[in-house]
Amino acid sequence: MKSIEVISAGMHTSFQDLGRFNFAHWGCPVSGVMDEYHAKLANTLVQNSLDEGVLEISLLGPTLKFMHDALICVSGLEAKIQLNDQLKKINHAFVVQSGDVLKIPQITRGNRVYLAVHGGFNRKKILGSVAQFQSITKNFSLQKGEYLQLNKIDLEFAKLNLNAHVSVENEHYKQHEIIVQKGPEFKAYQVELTKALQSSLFQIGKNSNRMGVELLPELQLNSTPILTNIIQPGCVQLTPSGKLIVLMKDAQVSGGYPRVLVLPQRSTDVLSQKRTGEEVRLVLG
Amino acid sequence: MLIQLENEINPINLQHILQIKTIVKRLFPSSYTYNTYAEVGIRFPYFEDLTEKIKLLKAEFNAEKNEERTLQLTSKTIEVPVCYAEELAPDLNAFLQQKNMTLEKFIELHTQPKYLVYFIGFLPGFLYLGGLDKQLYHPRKANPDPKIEAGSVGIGHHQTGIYPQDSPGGWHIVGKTPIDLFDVNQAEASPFQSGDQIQFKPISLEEYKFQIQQMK
Repeated sequence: MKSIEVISAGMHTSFQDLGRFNFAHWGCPVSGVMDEYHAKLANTLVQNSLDEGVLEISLLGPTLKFMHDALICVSGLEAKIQLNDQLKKINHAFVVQSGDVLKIPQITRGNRVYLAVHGGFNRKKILGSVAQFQSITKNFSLQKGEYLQLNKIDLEFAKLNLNAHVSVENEHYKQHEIIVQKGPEFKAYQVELTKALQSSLFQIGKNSNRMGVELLPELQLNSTPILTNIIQPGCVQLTPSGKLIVLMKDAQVSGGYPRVLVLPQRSTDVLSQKRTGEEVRLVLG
Repeated sequence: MLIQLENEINPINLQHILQIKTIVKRLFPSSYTYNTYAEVGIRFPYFEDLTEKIKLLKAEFNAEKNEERTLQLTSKTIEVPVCYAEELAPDLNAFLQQKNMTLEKFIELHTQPKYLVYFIGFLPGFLYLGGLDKQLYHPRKANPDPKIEAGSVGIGHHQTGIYPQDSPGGWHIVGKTPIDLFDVNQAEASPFQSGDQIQFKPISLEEYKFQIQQMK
């Protein structure tokens, strides 16, 4: 059942869900959505379960042609969402009809938005997840010309009440403060690190992606590599030259830089939406 | 949950790790465990209070402490064919020159040991192996190659290993294996697990090409 044609794929659009959990013993990263709050919100608004696969769309989004009716939602901070020539609201479910073209030309606040479709995409899970990742799935991003299938659903679109009130609580995404906790190697760098966190604002570096977010400038602090140990999304590594790197969803499963801090999920959600050049302050909580 | 052991690379550490994993599996069947050289990571399916679990684990581990730790590191040795032909091993000649070593001597030293699989990490299917002969220790390249082909066998510092997919890398490429180290289409995407041993078996270029053909 061909349901959606990918007219253009956008800058980087990929299938994601809550991740590929139990395959670290084969070296597979967790993967999954960078901003869990908004991905879950998108699924919630179209009445899906929270771990249903969604499209994660970065900065310049795709153009998708629907080949039959569907109930969909785009969630995130701010984006231009066009259905044919009509503008649609973010974080609101709406119905698309067969033949409609959905365009997300630009994300205007944050880095990523999530597209969920009621009933979910009909997508094969590989190692327990639909998340796209090199060497695990055939492609690591959506491809132009691809057809996406939807699961069969029974929905009377005419009878839907789409005006139900949903409170979107994403004000905290506007704050500069990001709560961090102590990591396994915090102690060895405690004095310098605590001082640095109190006095510095960090900028999101341009080498930030789904694997990690770099925080600049580098600290006046040198670290010593550790034995290759376990790392996972949320860990903050301190490189030998003093750079802090927050590991994100596609991070490797093992690494040899000290893990000085750890971000809780709510903090990585917020960080994933901070753009290159934006400033943050890390607050030990 | 993260359990840390002595920060070192040795078979005894790995033995303890495998033992801890066995205990954790027995106590908490729904948990998921994995490891590196000196750490065990444990994931539980739901958020739970870990205090009780840690107590239980400690008691169990201490109870076994005085017993003979007879857990075998592995019952499994897997043979991995490697072709050391020049056209598949771009860095081999330079390596031999710097070491002042013959190709025969090199192959002997590289294929003799049984390498211990400590864990899989870095990339899907990448094996962290222990047991490289000291005579083959060689510093990593100053400038990593932008693309090393999947299957390439390399030496870097005190380690030898196989690149499971095309990727950048800083090791000296001294051979190539025709086998797939990671293939999600197989029942087991990686044929290896922590605690296994592998042994390289030298094959000719013809044999390499034949095996590649067979896999297609």
